[in-house]
Amino acid sequence: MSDTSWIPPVELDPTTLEKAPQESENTEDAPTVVAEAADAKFESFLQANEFRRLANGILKFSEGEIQISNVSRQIRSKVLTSTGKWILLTLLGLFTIVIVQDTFEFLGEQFDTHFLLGLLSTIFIGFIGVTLGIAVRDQFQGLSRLRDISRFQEATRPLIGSDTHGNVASEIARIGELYVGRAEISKSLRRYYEVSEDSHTDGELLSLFSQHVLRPIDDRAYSVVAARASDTAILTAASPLAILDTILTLWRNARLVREIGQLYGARPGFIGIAKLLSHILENMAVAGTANLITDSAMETVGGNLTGAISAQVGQGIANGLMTARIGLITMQLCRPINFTDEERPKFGRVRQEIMSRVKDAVAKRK
Amino acid sequence: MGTEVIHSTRGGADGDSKSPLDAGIPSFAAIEKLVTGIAHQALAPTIRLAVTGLSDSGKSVFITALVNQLIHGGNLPFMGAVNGGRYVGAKIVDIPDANHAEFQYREFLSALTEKKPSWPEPTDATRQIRLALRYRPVGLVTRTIWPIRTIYLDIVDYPGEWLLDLALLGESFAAWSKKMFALCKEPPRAKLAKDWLEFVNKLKPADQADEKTLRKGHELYVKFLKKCKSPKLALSMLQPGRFTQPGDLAKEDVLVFFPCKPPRTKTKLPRTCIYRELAARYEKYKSQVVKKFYADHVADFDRQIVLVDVLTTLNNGYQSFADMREAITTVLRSFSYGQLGLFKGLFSHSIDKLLFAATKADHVASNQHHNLKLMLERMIAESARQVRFEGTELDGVAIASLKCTDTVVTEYQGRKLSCVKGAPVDRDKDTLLFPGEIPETMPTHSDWDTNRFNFLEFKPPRIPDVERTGLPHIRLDQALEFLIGDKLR
Ligand SMILES: Nc1nc2c(ncn2[C@@H]2O[C@H](COP(=O)(O)OP(=O)(O)O)[C@@H](O)[C@H]2O)c(=O)[nH]1
Ligand SMILES: [Mg+2]
Repeated sequence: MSDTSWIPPVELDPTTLEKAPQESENTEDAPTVVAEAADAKFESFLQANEFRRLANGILKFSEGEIQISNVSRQIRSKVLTSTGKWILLTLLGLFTIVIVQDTFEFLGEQFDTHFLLGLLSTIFIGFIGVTLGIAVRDQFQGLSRLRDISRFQEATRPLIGSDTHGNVASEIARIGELYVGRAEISKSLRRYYEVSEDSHTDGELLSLFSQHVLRPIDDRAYSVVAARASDTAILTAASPLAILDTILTLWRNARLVREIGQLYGARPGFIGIAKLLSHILENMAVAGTANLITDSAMETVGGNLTGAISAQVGQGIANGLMTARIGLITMQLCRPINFTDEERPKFGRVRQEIMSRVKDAVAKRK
Repeated sequence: MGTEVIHSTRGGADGDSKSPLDAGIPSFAAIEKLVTGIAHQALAPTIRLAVTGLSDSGKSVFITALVNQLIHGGNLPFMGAVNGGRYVGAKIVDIPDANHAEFQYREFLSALTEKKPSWPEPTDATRQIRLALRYRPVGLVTRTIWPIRTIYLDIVDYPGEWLLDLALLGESFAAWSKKMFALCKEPPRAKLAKDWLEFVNKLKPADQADEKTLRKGHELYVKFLKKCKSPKLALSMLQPGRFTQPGDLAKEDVLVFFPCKPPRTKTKLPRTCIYRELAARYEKYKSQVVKKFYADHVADFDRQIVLVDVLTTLNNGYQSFADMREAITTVLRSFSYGQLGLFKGLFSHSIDKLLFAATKADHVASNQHHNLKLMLERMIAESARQVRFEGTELDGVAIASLKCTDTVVTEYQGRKLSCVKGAPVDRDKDTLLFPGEIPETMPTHSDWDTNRFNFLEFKPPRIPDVERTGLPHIRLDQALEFLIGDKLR
């Protein structure tokens, strides 16, 4: 670098400052205010980036067996780019027109019969309409939340541990917005704004945010994973019917995904959960981990127990481990800032917890 | 290099002076001291932290801030023990057999946080402070034995000028004089030393010494050193250190000497001639003043932070930068580095972690800190190589013990400038200053334009409620984590 282009030192009038754009506006303000300010910026950000293909979003999971590509990238590519989507939309449009027309006809008939009947029907149908609208909106919000989170991950990933300044503060304010209105987090959020300074680098700010705001969530998510996984293991170890197992596991997994998503502020709707789950399962199947889990579970438990019981318990544990994996992957996908290597939850710990709980349960039953 | 360094501190001295630094065979008293030391260390472990820095590098402020932060405890998010909720707190405790006055923590803190805040006065004597730190250990076993552990942290403050005397220990009067004359040949010293050089060049060193002549020469020499030290030049390589900061020795005869060229006669010089008299006083200075300092400030440290005021040298130009680099390299040669081997550890402590810190980072906008650190690394590269070779872990960081400014991005002539906002020491109102950008690469000699930077000194910030909020700082927590984090586990 040649040094011929340096800017000479100047002193400016600090009173002009108010008009000048500020970078470090958010250190003193209350988080909500900042979040609102960030809102507008964020909207434009969203618009600008709507159709941009994200960079290769391969995440590496803790024990290295599973490679999952970024979920929302897939969601978006599926939703936005497939031709199937257009056919579906057209069909949906047609369907809507038919329904609307029918409804009007129906209402007209009711009004013709009696004014009150017509009014009642209108109210009734209006109610259904609004409820439906809210449900649909929730689904879309859930999806867009997931998308936001994966964008946060993309945006912050290159800045983890970096020495730069001024790129991440506004991003963090937006992430903080995910947790607005949650009492237990607002305290840690406030603490984060207290300790963060304009002198911190982007990497330092991310690490502070992770420490103060995300770590408590990680801990809770982790215990949810452990609890749900053990439940699955114990329940399916007890159930005699394979089909019941499957339904039970699926149901519990869906619940787990929703719970974890909610903890991280993702609030995935039904569609979101389905997408996440199918995506996770798909990836696990591709990686061949599903079988691997059964084997390792059998190995661990089989030594101590005999025959049919052990096979069933083994199956239970396998299901539990599967749930745990799903839980941990969900954590990874829903955390707005990627785990660093040391923060990442350790699978071994969950495994041990599940094993010991199942063994306890089996011992009690005997 | 370590052994070599020790060698040079001993071997170069005149034959007749026996260095008390020689380890030799440990005496009974030494062994006894060692055993009680080990026992004490096990029961009440102590970290001895060396805060090393030339004068005005920010030692006193650093120590004040460090003590404040450790006592306050809520402002150190990057300290592992604090972050993990294991840090309990700190308290200033008395040092049982203190041989120095106590560090004026409370005075300094209240001066810094008063309505009209002021910086600490320049230090003129050695001062100590001991902190008791309490934490909850991590290990399961330790935790069962000591739910809460106490560890002591000892810190010493002293005038930075005196550090440069350490190099004298390894030098004879002749060698030292030669070096000083060599330095005086080069600008900017050549001009400043004119009066004194005229005087010594006229002097006949073989003549009979008389007190008046010696004093005259001494005064001229001191005047020259003080000119070098003036803020406009801020040279660092100024020996002997007591000449610019005499402390309690202001009027003592032991200080009255100056560098002198040996006479060119072959005949044996009489004892009372000027040259031999000066040499004798130089040796006396070493044995009475410098060795005492060495014992207090160089031996027996576990950890070290070297504070470097990089920015001031950038303000003052290349010569100031080079001079400071020379001074730091010289000073660090006196310390002993390396992991404590089983036997090495029996006789002395050794510094196993060393942190170089560029102080006053708040003089520049925060996006400059990275380059400030690079500049620091460039300045200390040579010392760092030696120290690293010994196996000492080391790192560099840009810190501000007391953050006096905020970083503000503003628009100026169509460009975005990262400025600092704060009150300069000589003004009442805040200013918005773009002090110049620290270059990523070292400026070449011709490129080193003094108009390129304008780092102002700032007043301490006004903090309404120190008790509650603690002092603002930049990366003091990361410095502490590096220096003592492993001892709080
Ligand atoms: N802005 C700023 N100035 C500092 C800081 N630390 C020291 N200074 C300045 O440096 C001067 C010398 O500091 P001091 O601690 O007395 O240096 P010492 O001679 O090494 O003890 C002070 O008077 C302050 O003006 C800091 O963290 N920020
Ligand atoms: Mg001082």
